[in-house]
Amino acid sequence: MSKYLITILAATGVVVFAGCSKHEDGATIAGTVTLSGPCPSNAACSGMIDAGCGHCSAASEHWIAPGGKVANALIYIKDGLGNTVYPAPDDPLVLDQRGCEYYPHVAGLMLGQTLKILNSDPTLHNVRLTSADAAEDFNKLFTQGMPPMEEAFTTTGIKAINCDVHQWMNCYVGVFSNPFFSVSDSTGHYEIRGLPPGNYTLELWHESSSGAENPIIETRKISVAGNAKNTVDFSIAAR
Amino acid sequence: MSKFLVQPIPMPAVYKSSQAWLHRFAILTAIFTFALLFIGGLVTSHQAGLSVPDWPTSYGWNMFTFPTKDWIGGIFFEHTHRLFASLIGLMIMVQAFAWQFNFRGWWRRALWTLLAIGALYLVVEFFQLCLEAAAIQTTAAPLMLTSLFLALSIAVLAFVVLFIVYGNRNELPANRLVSKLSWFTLLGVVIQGTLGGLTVKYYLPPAVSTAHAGLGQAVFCLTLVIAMVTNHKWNDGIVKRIEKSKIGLRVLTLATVVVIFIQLLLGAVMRHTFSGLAIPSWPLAPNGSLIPDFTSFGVAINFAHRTWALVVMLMMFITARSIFRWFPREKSLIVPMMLGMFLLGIQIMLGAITIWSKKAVTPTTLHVSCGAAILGTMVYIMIKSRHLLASKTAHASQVTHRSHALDKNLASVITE
Repeated sequence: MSKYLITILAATGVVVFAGCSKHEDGATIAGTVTLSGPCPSNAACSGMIDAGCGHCSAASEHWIAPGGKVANALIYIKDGLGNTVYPAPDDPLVLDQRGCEYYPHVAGLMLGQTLKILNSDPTLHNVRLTSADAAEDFNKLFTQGMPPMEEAFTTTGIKAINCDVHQWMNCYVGVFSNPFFSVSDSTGHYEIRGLPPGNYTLELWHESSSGAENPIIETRKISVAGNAKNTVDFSIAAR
Repeated sequence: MSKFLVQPIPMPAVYKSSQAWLHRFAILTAIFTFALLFIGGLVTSHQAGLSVPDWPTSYGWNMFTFPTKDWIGGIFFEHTHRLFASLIGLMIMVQAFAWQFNFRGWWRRALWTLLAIGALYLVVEFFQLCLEAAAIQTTAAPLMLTSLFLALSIAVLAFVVLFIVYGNRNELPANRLVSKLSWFTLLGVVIQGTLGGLTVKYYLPPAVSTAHAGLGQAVFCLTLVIAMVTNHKWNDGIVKRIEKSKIGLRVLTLATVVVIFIQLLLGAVMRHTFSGLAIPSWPLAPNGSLIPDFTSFGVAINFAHRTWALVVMLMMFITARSIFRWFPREKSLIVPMMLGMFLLGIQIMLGAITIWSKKAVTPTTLHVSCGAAILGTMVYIMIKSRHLLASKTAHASQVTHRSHALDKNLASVITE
């Protein structure tokens, strides 16, 4: 009896283990992004404050997290994946204009995935996208009550989205041809999962206080194998 | 009488009272064109140039009916800039018509009637906007601006109606030059409006935005010149004097105006390529030297603007020296030159404050406007000097002509 029980338990363990292995296929790259040096000074808000917003935010509020951690850093695999084609998810990335801010402030989506923009504010905005490919640029009205705006991208890269009615309002969307990207959270932590074994270039992009015209970019070379968890930390200086 | 003097220039036709009103209208136009430059500067300083994505409509509305409750954030600056520009365009159109068309003939009457209808339309729309701004009771700025627009449009309508009723019905204006200048200014305004629309449609391409900025300055100078030459005292008691200095004041002031205009264009390129803080410190660059490390186009254009300012200073000093030396009693030159030097000092301070404040809106916009004021002052001096002075060559040819005439007279006397 006990032999049967042990066999059954072992088989269950194998099945469970196999199941766990299936969910955790591929390597993981994780780490923390921290701030080195002093915090940047907050830029003063300018322009008329819309009653529909009630406030404006300084640039550094978007990325300086407590404990010297850096939020909203976009970390992604720059190269090393070869010509593998990854299907884009069907679910859109939702960008909401709420309290005269974009939520999320930094996000990533795949080429072919839809960007869905909402306006939850009782005021109007304009949505202006700036890309390295000028043909993709647009500047559209988004008044209160309009249906969601859906956009698709034809090129990869970091795109800036701004509202010129409310000058502090901006966000960044990274468009990639693969699903291996992550945005650091309020603890500075990021994680990229499911990476096939290989040698990669890992890149960090951050807006810094200067904005997208002068972002912080840091690159690391990394080799991953099997299902290993790799830790890559970044330390960036404010500017 | 000074030995510099030549023959007095002949007086034009007697200045009629309706033309005195045209002169006052021209002064008003010049003043408000300058104010429009300031408002335009605010648009760029607030980075609000794309806050109204469509043109000539505003968020799908007719520009003159866009609700004041939506004049928020960047829209306030961009939209009011468009409204004000439309009003100035109408004023310049009225000016061009007044100097060209009397009230004879059915088609001229039809044109004037259309102009009156246009002015009336603006009065009605601005009145409604004013009421709307008063009713929403948010910030005072929309109410103040709509009141100003209403007052100005009423003044234009009144001018048009009075011109139709009491204007010079029988004779064309005495000054064809002003007529041509007015049409030229109107053409400039039309092109300016088109450039403004194009720069919004194509997301502020630097070349178009810079052209829009430069042409705005040129149109302002034209309105200033019209205001000057329509003064009924413009030719009163004028006796031309010959240039005494080696490099004539007329040439010197022209060169100074060109130098200042180049500086304004460099500033516009710098602003519209976001290079204002490419060298983020003043007077020294971050490397501790006067000359920065040229790491980008932005640094180069920023440095060019700073360096060309020295050329502007030099030219203005030379012009001032020439005026103070050769025309110490000519108030019409001395006073504006002193004003120009004062504005130059202010401009340098504003430039420094713009850098130190990291392009705060107020000093940056005042820096733009002060540049326009310096340009306007030097244009005034340039036109005035050309009006007061004759070149040595012109004087020599007049003397030769007189001596030939004298010889002929003497010969005929001897013959007799």
